[in-house]
Amino acid sequence: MNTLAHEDTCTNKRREVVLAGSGGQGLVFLGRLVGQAAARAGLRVVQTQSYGVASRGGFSKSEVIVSEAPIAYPMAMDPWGVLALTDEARRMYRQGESANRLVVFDRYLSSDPEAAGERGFPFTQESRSLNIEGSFNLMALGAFLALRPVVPYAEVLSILREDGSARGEANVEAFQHGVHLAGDS
Amino acid sequence: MSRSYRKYLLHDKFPLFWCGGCGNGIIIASLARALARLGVEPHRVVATTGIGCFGKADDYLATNSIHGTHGRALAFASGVKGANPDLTVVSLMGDGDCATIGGNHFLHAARRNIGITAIVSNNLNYGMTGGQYSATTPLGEYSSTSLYGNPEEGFDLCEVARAAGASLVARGTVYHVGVLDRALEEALQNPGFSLVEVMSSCPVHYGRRNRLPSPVDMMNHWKTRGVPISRFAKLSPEKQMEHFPIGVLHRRDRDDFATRYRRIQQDAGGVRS
Amino acid sequence: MSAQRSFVQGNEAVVEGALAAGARYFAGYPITPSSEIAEMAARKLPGVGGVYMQMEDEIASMAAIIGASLTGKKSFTATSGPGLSLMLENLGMAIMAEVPCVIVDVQRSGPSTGLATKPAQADVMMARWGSHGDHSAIVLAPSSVQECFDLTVRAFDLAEQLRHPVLVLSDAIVGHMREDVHFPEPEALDPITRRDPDVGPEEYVMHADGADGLPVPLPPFGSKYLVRANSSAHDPSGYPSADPGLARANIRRLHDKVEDAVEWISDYSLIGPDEPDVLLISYGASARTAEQLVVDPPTDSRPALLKLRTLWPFPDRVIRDTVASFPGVPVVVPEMNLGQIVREVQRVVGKEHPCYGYHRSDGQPIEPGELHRFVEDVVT
Repeated sequence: MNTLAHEDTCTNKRREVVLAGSGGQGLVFLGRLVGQAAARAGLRVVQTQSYGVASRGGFSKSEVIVSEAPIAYPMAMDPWGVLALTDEARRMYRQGESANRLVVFDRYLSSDPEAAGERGFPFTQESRSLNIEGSFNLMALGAFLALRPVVPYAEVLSILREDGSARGEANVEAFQHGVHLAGDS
Repeated sequence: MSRSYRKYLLHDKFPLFWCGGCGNGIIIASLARALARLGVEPHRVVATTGIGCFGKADDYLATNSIHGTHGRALAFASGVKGANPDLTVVSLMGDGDCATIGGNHFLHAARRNIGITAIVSNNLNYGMTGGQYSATTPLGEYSSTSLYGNPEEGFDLCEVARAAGASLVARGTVYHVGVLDRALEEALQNPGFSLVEVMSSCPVHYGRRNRLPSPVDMMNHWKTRGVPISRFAKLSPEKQMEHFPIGVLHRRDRDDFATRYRRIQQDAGGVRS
Repeated sequence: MSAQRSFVQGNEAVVEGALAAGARYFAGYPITPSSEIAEMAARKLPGVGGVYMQMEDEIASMAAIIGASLTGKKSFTATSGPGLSLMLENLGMAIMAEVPCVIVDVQRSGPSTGLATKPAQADVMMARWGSHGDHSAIVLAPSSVQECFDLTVRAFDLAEQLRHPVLVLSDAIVGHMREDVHFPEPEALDPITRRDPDVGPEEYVMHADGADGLPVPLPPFGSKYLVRANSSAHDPSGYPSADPGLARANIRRLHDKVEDAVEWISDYSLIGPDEPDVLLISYGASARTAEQLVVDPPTDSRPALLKLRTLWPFPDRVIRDTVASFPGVPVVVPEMNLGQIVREVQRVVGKEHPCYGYHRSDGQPIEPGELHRFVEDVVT
């Protein structure tokens, strides 16, 4: 799991990431996972989420802010990274003005060619070919964290491994595969 | 009979606040007698009341009390009994308090089968505020707000309680005191929710507007209308229309809220079994 | 162990705080965005010998926690604006009968059903004045998950000390966000517990103050003491009385016991430079926006923040002293409503002092950028 450096996790800078897509994709779960990993790593962290009918379909998002210092404003102002799991989410965030922002998207769900500040991966196809389609979101998270390492992978993995179920194992496999997808590209 | 029931009453607060001919004092005395026969100590009793004539019942009881807001006597009582099932909890309400503004609490206390004895002094109108119609005022009867006859039908509170799940339902009148005493004694021993509806006299407001202007008229009314349940069942349908059954009308064997919740606490490891 | 940090939601931290404070009874009615509090109370209370009751409405919920508290169990409920509207009836009962209890209002956008899942801070005045009749109020406002825990613990303590209902005025942002928090070890907390009265049952008078100036202890139903909790005007024993002198003394005492305690109830913090160019006064989720301007100030900007954790009784002296310590510095009060606390601040600082509200009432948080632009206009 050390194929990628994660020096960026060790600054006291405020890091904002947004996990966006549609209800049912497990975005709140991903956000909680990242947040929990941050807390275990001794970082300060705030996670917020869209709530209500949005979590039953339609646009949904989870925001995570990580820092070594106390966090004031709890929402993302200029996200450093966005994981966009729908075409709508991708379009919403690529219009951002931030030069540093990276939007990671799924090529199957959003087929426009990559623009500057974007990275597309075949999460859907890969998870289907590995027969872990239910863990497609973890694969996306693995790739996203490889490119935007706001929390150490080791913490994410240790949390995923605490779930000993078959689903938990698939999640671990998907997450690791996602990290490699981003690392090999 | 022993005079020990006196310890449940605040004698220095007599005479009673209510009008001459009112039935409320009869109900309080019957409750005190039932508590005395059961030997419940006054400090182990919590009486909750709301607002209205019978909402002042706690003024004369030497027990713990919550004199709460209008219609909420059963909601306060639910908190008391829910938090400490070992207490004897009685809610004293009029028909306005229990059947009308507090109707929802009544339904749900019965549904939960929580161990409260609900005693309803049903005088068929709002006495305290000047004799307006309530949710038990019968169709066509007169009140200060149904001068042309009540356009609504009244609840049969006992039927409502039975349908909602009460494990004991009884009716008495302020004339049939023996029936009332026995009903209250049985209700106080029922672990679940009990309703004791007491048909009560209000000659000043209800009676005056409905051809029963004196206390004696009202007593005669209850005397002739109330029929013990065993006898009521044998009346013809026509006769039944003119009368109502008294005594314990309904018993249902089901666990009360405390018993069920204690199992949850045991399963959760919160209390020893 | 004590350095262990948990990652939990604000609403969950409320329940952790309540349990740590010794709460053993919850009655409530589910409502967004507070429902997680009911859910977690339902899950956790039975395991500690406590009781969760789901009532038929918020009127009954408030009544039930009063009844439960009178049996000696520390009791709480949770709701949002529409539910608090219903609870106001028996909030008055808790004030009148001096029954300790805690009400958590996770504010959402109104009026009426409003934006049911979106945040607001528009219940501030309802929390203070909503229940009819003369009365005071104790209202605490958390702005973080940590404060959800800390202020809930404090709410139970204040409720017991002053025998008064205490509101925790959270909001949909604070209630739903997750943060890393530190829950102290149980032995590190010393919650105030009910104690027996100093006198026997014959001499006990329920509505009176002890030697410490605080209301006398409240014995539980079922003890040798008889307790009369009365919503009607009453004498010190709880027995109804229409005597104007007794009514005057009772209303005055109920009001003053809270207002006179404002100094030790008040909880606040002041952060920022020694010589700010603007003083922000805020609370709850909006204080986080204001804090952002202080910790990461835009160029040529020197804001300070007075964050209020106690909203009621209103900390007049704290506001007055803080404003006086920055002569001529304008005050800006950001809040997610059309102007509630700002009016209190304006009352305290007087007409001459520049004091402006920055308001947003569309179910969205106040963003740091918009607040900065407003502040720039005020300063220049």
